Amino acid sequence: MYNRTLWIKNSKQSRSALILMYLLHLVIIPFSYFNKSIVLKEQLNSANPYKGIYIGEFSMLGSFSAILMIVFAILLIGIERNSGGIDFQFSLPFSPKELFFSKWIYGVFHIIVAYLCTFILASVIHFTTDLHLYIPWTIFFKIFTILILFSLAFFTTSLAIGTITGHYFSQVLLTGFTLISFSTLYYSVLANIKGLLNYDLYYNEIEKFLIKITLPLSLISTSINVDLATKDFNIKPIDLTNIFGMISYIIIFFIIGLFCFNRKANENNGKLFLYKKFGYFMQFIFIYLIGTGIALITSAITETSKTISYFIGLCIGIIVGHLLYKGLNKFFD
Amino acid sequence: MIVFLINFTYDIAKCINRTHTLNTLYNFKGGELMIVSIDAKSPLSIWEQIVFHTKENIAKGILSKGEKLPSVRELATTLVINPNTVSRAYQELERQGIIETVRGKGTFVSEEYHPAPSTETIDKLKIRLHSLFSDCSIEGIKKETIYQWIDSYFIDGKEKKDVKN
Amino acid sequence: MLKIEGLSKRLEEKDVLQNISFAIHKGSITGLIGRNGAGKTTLIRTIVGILEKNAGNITIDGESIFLNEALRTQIVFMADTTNFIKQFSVKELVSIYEHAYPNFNKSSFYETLEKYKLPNTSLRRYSKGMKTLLYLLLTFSTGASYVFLDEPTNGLDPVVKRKVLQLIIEYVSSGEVGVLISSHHLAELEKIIDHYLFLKDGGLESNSSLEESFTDYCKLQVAYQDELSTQFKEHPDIFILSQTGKVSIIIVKKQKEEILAQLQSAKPLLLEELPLTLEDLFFLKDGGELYV
Repeated sequence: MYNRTLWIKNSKQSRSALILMYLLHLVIIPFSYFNKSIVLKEQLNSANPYKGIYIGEFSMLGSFSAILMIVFAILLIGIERNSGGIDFQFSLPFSPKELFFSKWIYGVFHIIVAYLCTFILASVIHFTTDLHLYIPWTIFFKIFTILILFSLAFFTTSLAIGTITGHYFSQVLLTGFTLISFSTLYYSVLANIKGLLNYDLYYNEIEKFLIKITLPLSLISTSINVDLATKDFNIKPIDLTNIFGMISYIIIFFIIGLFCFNRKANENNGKLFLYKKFGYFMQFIFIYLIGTGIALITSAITETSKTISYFIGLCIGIIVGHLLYKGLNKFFD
Repeated sequence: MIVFLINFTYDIAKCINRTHTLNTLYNFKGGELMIVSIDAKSPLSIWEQIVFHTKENIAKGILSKGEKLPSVRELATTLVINPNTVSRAYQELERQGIIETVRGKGTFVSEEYHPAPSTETIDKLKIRLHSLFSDCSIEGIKKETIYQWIDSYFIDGKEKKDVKN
Repeated sequence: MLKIEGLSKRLEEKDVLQNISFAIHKGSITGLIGRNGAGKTTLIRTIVGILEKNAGNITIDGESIFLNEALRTQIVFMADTTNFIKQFSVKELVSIYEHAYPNFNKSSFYETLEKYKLPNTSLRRYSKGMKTLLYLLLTFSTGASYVFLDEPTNGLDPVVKRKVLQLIIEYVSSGEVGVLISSHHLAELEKIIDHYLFLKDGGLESNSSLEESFTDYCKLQVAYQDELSTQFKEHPDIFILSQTGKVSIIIVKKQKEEILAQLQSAKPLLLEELPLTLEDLFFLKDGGELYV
């Protein structure tokens, strides 16, 4: 299960991301939180009618962590496709599943340790300053649970995507896309229906659901608003669907990564996508979205006969998308 | 027959014309000195060259009876050639009784070895012979005639005591 | 013994490897040669586990490595670049290799490291030659019985190239390891290999020992009054290496005494045997047009 070989290798490769991550978790965020206690004092002593503090540290932590997770995943899988790392590790006597698992567990370990450190440091700051008078410590449990799950989900998703893309360029783009994919696709379908058929669709339920499962938006629930006068603190609620969504991301993408990281895929190292059929699927989505995008532009700039201009835009967009994709493919071949 | 002649001619030509590339290495191992030259362009294979040079070294006194030879590994590494090639040469030398292997101790020059005439002597003889062949060729004497002369000199493999020509 | 049986590999609609079969014995050095694009790197990468085969089997002493993945500890690969390992230090690399290969011989590694005067530091201080030497040393220290080297002498200066070859020979001399070397440097390869595999268009055109080939074929320099007659030019067992004016250099299958007789009877101005090299065999096996 655990192998020192792979641990050392993973450590060396991801060194820079690891340093940044610990810097963020051990220094930047705790320091920023500490600053809040100073802001607290200032606010209390100020003459403002509304005295309040906004603790955005943790959502900031989440946002930066997200970026670091992608970098982490790139350093652990993405660049290996070009640096000879794939050749090296696959020629070692390990099974591909072992190789993937070691990367994943390595990331998970450091994520949890880093957050634990931040939790401890933030708690220390919390109790040694006046902050604990205004904010209940128990809220930390909720915040950090969300953050840990969030980072784990981001990391697992990005890592798994690295097992189906052949280059870190497509890894980054596809990761970004996957996270917003549900919403994008949903809205694009609505846009097309409106643009071509002039029919307004509106499903409140679906849209609410989409917000819940779109990963980046979960961070909203990690920032706190405190009204110093009433000692009222406000934090956006998070429900089980969100939590369940994040856990699903972790499980699903872990399984995808475990099975997609194999010898068959290595034939296409360096290309946009390792699996040809998936590449065709992505090509379709790419062209579809570019088409929709351009169609929206063309229909927005015309005053009359929006349907026709939408249609024309769609055609132009499809052609443009096709050429763009072809160009990209050639570049990575 | 034809192939023999081709080889023979080439061998002689080689002796006179020493402009081929040489790969001479001295193998020092605690006092022993063994000169082995591997000629990439020689018609002799590498193992044959090792056999030849080892015999040469013994004949010249560079290797004395009972002296230790480099191990297969040592010689292969020094000459940068395949160890199986060295093995083959050593096997051949052992077969000819020139060297012997003592288990756990190494390979040594046989005490029983009787040195052959020195290589200089042989070289010189070859050169003289080639010179003679050249002269015959110029005079238009065919090789069949030369063979007859050789045959008439050696009857039943033995030298004729008095040669009349 | 490592045995490759009927190995086939398809890449992008093309049969890059077709039904390849050969064996590697401990104590032997085999050269893998062929034109660029013949499939040499693909073959090695498929054997060591980077690519997946489409058909065939690979066995070590009769057991398939696909059914018993633990056998892969008997196989080790050295890539043609040090691009990946150069980010590590010697200590880290030792740790990486020793935990992957249970038979890693640490003491012998450090002994040889000192012998070749390689510093125990980060590889950033190493020159290209030193990196290659270190990589080779790590590869052989794994204790794996079958070593696959992909162009180990590429771009090396003569001094370090010699050290690389000597290192390979030293380890093979123990008789515990069989080596396959893919290389274009035929001159030095032919001194150290005992077998060679010639890969042509994905198929194994030749699989024989050097000695066998050197006995089977002979290289002749011939000259005739008129140019080499068509009878010889188009003879299936005669291969023309070069032709300048009246003089041609040809390769002939030695067993065919009749050819030699024919050549002789055509009254040549010159008929001389030349030593055969691996490069000559390369041209012969490739069979293409050598002179325009």
